Amino acid sequence: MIVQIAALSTYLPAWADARGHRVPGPDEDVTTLAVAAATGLGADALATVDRIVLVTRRPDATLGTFPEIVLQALGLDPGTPVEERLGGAPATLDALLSAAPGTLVIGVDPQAPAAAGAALAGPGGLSIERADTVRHSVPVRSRAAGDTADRVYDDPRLLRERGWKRALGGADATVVAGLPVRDVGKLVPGADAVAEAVEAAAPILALAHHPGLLVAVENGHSVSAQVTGSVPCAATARTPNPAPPTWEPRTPAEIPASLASYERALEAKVGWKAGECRECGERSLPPRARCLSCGGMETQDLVALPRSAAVYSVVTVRAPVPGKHGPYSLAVVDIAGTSLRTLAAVTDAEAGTARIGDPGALVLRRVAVRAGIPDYGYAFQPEEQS
Amino acid sequence: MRDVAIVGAGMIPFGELFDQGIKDMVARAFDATLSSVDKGMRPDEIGAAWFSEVQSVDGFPAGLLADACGLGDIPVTRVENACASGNDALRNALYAVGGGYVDVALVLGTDKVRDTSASSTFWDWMGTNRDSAWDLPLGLISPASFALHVARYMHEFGATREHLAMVAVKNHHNGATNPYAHLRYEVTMEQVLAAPMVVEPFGLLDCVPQSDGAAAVLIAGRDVVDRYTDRPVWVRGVGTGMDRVLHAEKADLSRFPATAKAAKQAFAMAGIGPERIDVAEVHDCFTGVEMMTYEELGFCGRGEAPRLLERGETSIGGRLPVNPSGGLKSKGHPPGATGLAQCTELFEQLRGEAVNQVDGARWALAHNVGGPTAVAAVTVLAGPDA
Ligand SMILES: [Zn+2]
Repeated sequence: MIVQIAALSTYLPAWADARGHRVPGPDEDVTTLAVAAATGLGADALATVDRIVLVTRRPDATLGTFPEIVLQALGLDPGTPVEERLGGAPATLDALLSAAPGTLVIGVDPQAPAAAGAALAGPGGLSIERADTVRHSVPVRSRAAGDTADRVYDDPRLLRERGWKRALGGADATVVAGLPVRDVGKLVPGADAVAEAVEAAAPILALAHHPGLLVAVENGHSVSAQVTGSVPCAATARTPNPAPPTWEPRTPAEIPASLASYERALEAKVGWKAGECRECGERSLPPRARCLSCGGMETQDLVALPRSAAVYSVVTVRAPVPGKHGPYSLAVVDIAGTSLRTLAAVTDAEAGTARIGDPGALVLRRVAVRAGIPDYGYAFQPEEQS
Repeated sequence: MRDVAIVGAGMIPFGELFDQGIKDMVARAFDATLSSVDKGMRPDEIGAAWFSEVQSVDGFPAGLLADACGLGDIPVTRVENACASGNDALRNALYAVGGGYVDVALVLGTDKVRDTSASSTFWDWMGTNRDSAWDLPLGLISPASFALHVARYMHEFGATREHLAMVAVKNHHNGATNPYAHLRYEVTMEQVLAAPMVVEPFGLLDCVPQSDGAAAVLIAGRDVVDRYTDRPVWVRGVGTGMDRVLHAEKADLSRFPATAKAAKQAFAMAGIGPERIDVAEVHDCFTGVEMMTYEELGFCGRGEAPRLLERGETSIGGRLPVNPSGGLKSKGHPPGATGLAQCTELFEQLRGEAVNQVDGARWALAHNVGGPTAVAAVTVLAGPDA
């Protein structure tokens, strides 16, 4: 089966660790990374999506995950099927190779090197066709449900000799996804590698650059595909800021939650919509039962809001706040093309760098974790200084 | 409506009062206030009481006041209107006494902010002031809420951190000699500017301390005032103004509309304008708030507040001394008690008995602004010689 790819988009978080690997910001998780990658496809491409397959090795949760957040944030029909798959690079390529037109495959790697990629199946200039599948078991890396860190069987040679080498077989790979660059250089001299990701996002990043034979590897498992042609790829990769060693709050504390109020606010807060009065056109954010302009009751419909904005006022909280990583900046921003403003955390920039008047974008982020439950909303991402 | 006067006013020294429970503070402030009545007053002459308390501690607030003061035979009502509770409670009591329903009323305010652990206190207080879905998770702490206004004001009018520091220096100078003040020491401009940042543009010395305390006034109708004193302080005007609760929905963050509305009401009722005020106690929870409030109260024109500070016009000896008690900044800020402590100071000022006496003061003004800068209360007082 030949699968056509209509559009590609990749996203790298705006932070890097001491080794130079991208790491997610304190307000990013698999859900927001998936949305960030898919948003880059653009509204026209997203309008054709009728199914999502989300592949990651490291889901945000095994219970209470949030496909509805992804759908709301992308403006998709809430009835769109979302399939969450556990896997690395081969799983993503496998999902793409069996994708029907209209299927959006998103691969997300939330750990360093962190990245996300989105590929939409449909008529387009890029074609992929399955070449081979190899499966050997060398699970040198494991994480039991509930563990907070990977357990690694410490023998890199075993992994390389009995895992990667057999997974690669004798294939004349043009590009290898799922392995570190250095190992690709040793194992398949002449093949390209994906430097920005080694798990589920890697095959999509590879598609963006390399026609030829793509081999996606994880342990002793590989899926390979012949790639021909190309499509434009929307690549989001800000110049990274140095990430602190941890995003943990200095003083742990539980931020109180009302899931009832969060649920009521969800469509506006995550779908990024204002209430618009049918009688007089007045808009309110958040939406309200009574129109403040004409006094109409229950006259508001939800309408999508622009996602560009500019800083009206901004402050930086430097005192330690229990349960929050700091310092952090908060801004009241003017939403472009409206008379509405919103209060938003400043994201993807060092605290204290945003200034009144700075333009930027409103992006979906996990604005807090309250009573263990993630709380999604929009943060202000200042435009990058060129 | 008949005229109403303050015939007694008293407070306990504010501070970090771990050795006093809220019931102890309430009883002691009540006793100090009764004792301040020139010709004496029996508790059974009080017809009703209003209790200003923002955060409930040790149980049911109104019952707590009745119980602690032995006022079990009269109606007691708790008033909670954020940091404006004190002056707003006085407004409620004034309506009852002025309307002739009660001859003598007690208005007592208190708060105890140090009776729970720092982190739980923190989010408990946040919960009283923030929209659960839209505001609370962002960590819009109180100084940040006010700083969003002050940052915008500084941007529009070119005010600097030095102007803010002038407020701290002035108020600490006044409070240093006030035996009821929490922070009885002077600070220099250099110290204020060098203090650790809390929320830009506020350093630690731009912010109020966390204080416990209690304060009260006794008010009486004109027909009975003579029984208690020959030197009453008349409550000539009261006002309470509101603003939108979400910062994103406030039309102009360089202003405090709630204060302007409260002042307009209070001056209209008093039949005077701001030019008649000789001394004022102004809500300086953060230094820049006092500065901006000069304009909202009509003490100067728009954008002129920094000039007042530069010229020392609001220092003792200046044209219009503000916060001779030390203000919230030095005296302390137990929210429910703050407005009544201001009235206690002004009661003494207008009778010529204050520690930092403003010569010849005849008209005085007390002001609070609170919550998400969405409520303000203003009281206009006239001395016996006005
Ligand atoms: Zn309307």
